[in-house]
Amino acid sequence: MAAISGKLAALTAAAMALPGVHTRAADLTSPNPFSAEASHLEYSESGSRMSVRVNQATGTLPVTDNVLLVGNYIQDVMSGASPIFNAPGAGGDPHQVLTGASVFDRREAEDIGGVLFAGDNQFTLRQGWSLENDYKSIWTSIEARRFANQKNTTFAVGAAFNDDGVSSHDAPHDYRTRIKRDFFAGVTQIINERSLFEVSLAYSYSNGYLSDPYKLVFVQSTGLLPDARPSQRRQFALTGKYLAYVPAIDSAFQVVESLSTDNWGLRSGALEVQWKKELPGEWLVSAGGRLYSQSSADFYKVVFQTAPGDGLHSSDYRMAAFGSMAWLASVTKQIGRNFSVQFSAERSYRRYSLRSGGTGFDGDDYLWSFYLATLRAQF
Amino acid sequence: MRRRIGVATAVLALALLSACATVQPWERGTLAKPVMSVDDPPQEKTQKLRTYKAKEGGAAATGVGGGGCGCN
Repeated sequence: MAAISGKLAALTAAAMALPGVHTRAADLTSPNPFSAEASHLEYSESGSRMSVRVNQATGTLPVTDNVLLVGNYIQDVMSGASPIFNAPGAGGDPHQVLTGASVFDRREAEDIGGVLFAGDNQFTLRQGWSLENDYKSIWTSIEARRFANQKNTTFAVGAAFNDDGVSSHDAPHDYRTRIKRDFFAGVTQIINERSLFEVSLAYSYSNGYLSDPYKLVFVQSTGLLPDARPSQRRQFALTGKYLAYVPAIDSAFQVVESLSTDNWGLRSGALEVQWKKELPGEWLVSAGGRLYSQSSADFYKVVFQTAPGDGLHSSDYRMAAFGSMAWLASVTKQIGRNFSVQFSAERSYRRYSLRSGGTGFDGDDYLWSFYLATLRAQF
Repeated sequence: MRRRIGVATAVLALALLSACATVQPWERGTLAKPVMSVDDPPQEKTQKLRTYKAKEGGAAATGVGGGGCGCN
């Protein structure tokens, strides 16, 4: 009976935590409102390229029945080699030139926030800071949610402002400004007792120094030039998510599709499919795949014959046309009422052949993977 | 392209909204199962999105906030 009551309480708490379902701070995690989460991530790329170790900790503290405080800390340690430019080879085929393997950087980031619950409305305000040797960022975000239609529908709007400074190892105190403004709107809708969907739209406007200080381009007529991108960028993105439970196999399927376009001529699409299943003994497993494809930016070329007249040029592998295939998996174990531990992994294979238009080359192909371990507690 | 994304959003949202029934709280047992969580756990979501942002040129509509980095 005690076990049934425990499961019922957990189910009720989970139901109240559903988008479109929860109402007040006290309901969110009742009967255990205080939560803490810590994780460690190991990221690596093929060859001698970048590897990153990330430690993250998050805490949530209810102040009153209607107010939550949230704090978050992230520490990154990065090392390894990174592509700088593409050089023409002896046979005419280009090849990628990397930095030495001694590149090292450390990043520390914190953010604090408050969540206010007022009737069928929820407001979240967050303030964050990030500092590394050659990059600093200060950001503020605000988000509002409204639960409507007997909490079958959730409307969300948000905005964020990023004030970033970009320098380089050669001139670490010579910061150049990069400003970004993000706007977001979305709706989550319960379709029936077994399925729901979410549709979101985002717009970002960035201006300032948007180039990469570590990237170069090879120009046949003049030699190497620094990466130079437009000083403004406008990005639009649409993301749709569909989640359905299939009783016949006692599992859920999730499909996420994202499309984006910007004024740099770069278009992208991503499709992610996941299967999720609960197993006896409080286990939850998931597995899936992700397919991504993008076109190249207008100012991208693998190598340049002459310097473009508008002064814009980049050979950054992220501005190239390419695609990728990835697998992802996760396993979560609930330990008693207060703890859970999760292991998740993703491995992505970049392929020039999966591009969706524009130019690039297969010398940029590589793979990255990450492994993440997370411990959660509620008291 | 921007207009297409806007039109596609509106059409998709209207089509799906029109097909929805009102589900009462006591009918949401299946929706409350852990496998029906709409979002990835927060820290997993943060790390996934940051990796995509650092390694891809595209964008996704996944919320606001998080700050920039000099990721290479």
